[in-house]
Formats: sequence, structure tokens, C-alpha cells
Amino acid sequence: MTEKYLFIKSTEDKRIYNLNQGYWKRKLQSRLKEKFSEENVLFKNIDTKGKKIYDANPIFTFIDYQKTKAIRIIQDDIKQIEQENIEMEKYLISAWFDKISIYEKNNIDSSEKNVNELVIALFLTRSTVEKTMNLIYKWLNNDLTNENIERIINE
Amino acid sequence: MNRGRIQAQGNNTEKSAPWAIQNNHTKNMGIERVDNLSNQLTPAELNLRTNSLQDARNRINTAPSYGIAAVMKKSYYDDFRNRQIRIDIEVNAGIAFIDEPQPNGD
Repeated sequence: MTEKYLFIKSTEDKRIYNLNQGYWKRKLQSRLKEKFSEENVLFKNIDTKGKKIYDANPIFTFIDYQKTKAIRIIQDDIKQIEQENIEMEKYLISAWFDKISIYEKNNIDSSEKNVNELVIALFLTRSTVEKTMNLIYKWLNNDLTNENIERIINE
Repeated sequence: MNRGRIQAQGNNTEKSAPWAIQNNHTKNMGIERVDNLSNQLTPAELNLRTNSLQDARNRINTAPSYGIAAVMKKSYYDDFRNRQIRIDIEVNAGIAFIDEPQPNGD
């Protein structure tokens, strides 16, 4: 059965984009039991003057400095698959491990610190949100491997 | 210091075109890094990343005149069926992709 896509107009309408972003924040806040502050947002998707970039690449970022783990969620635009006549279920969500280099704030000449990053890229549906929650929960609890990424994605 | 890199990853590829400079990092410098990375790729690797390399160029060229500040990281892929085959743009420190200085500007 084809799943219903959520916030399908979010790349066309800034109001819907902001609602979409709020949806992620609420979902993740309840699951991660973390308060989102400036301190644990890895980076905002903005330009140098603080103007928001509405491309959902990424739509959400998080860093746990104690665990030196980061999360980046990319939300793909549903418009790119409107013309596709394929079985979509197995392509709705992907995830991989990466590293991101960060430098101390106010000391950009400091040595680089490599932080392990979980990247999740998806089309937004209820099932991809649930899978994202499972991936992040396991990631923050040191229980995520390439094997169980595949298992969770293919559930 | 302005630091960052353009990176090709996925499908056993990991190639990078970094920068670390004291001076302003401009859009032309960013495009040169994308071209440098593109030249490092084999024809097969390049074939899988044609659109994502162009997406990276577009992101650089459409950055505001005053550039993009660290931290910024974006991933682009040609095909959502294989998202791990990708091009990443990373701005890790400082500012990147500002407009070129005007010839007679201050």
C-alpha cells in the first residue's frame, strides 16, 4: 500500500516548511528526552546573515558533545518522485555513518575535532519518522551498526 | 582561518578537495574545488555523480554575496535509490563562497 507523504508542500510554502521543521523537533524532543538549545544544534541551515535556507538539506541537526555523536536529517523533496512509476517503499529512507569536523567556537585556529555523525535521508511518511526514531535511539545508546541500520530500514 | 571541503563518498569512493586559507574564500575557489574533485574521479565514479556535482556548483553559485558561515554540511545524490553515492559540501570553519572582490573595490 502506498504511504501518505507528509508536509508535501513544504518546499513551496515557507509556513508549511516551518510547521514541518516543528514537527521534527517535537517528535525528536519527545524521543530523545533532550532539550533543544543553541548548544546541541550542530548547525542551522542558514546563511551568514542568519537567513534560513528552505531546502531541508538538512531539516534537523543535533550534537551530543558528551557522547561526541551528531545527527543530520535530510528530507527529500517529494516532487522528484511524482513522475516515478516504481515501487517506492524500499527507497523511502536511507541512513549512513559519516564524520563531521568541528572547531571550537571563537577559536577557529584550534585543532579539528572529528565527530561521528549519523545521516538519515528520507521522504517524509509516518513509517520513515518511526524508523528515524529507532535509528536515533540506537545511535545515542551505542547500539547502531551497519547491519541493524539495514534491518530497521527494511522492517 | 576558513576551512572546508568538497567530498565524493559512497560505493567505496572517498575523495576530497579541501581548503584551509587565511584569505577570503570565494565562489570561484569553491567551484575550482568542485572541478578538482571531479577531475579526481574515475569515469565510473563521475558517471554516478553528474547531477550531484552540478547541485554542489549550484549551491555555491547561489550562495549570498556574503557567503555561508561554518558550520554547514550538505549532501547531494543523483538518485534517491542510492543516496549513499553522493557529493558532500562542508564548511567547517570561517566563511566560504563569498562573491569575488570587485576589481576597483576597497
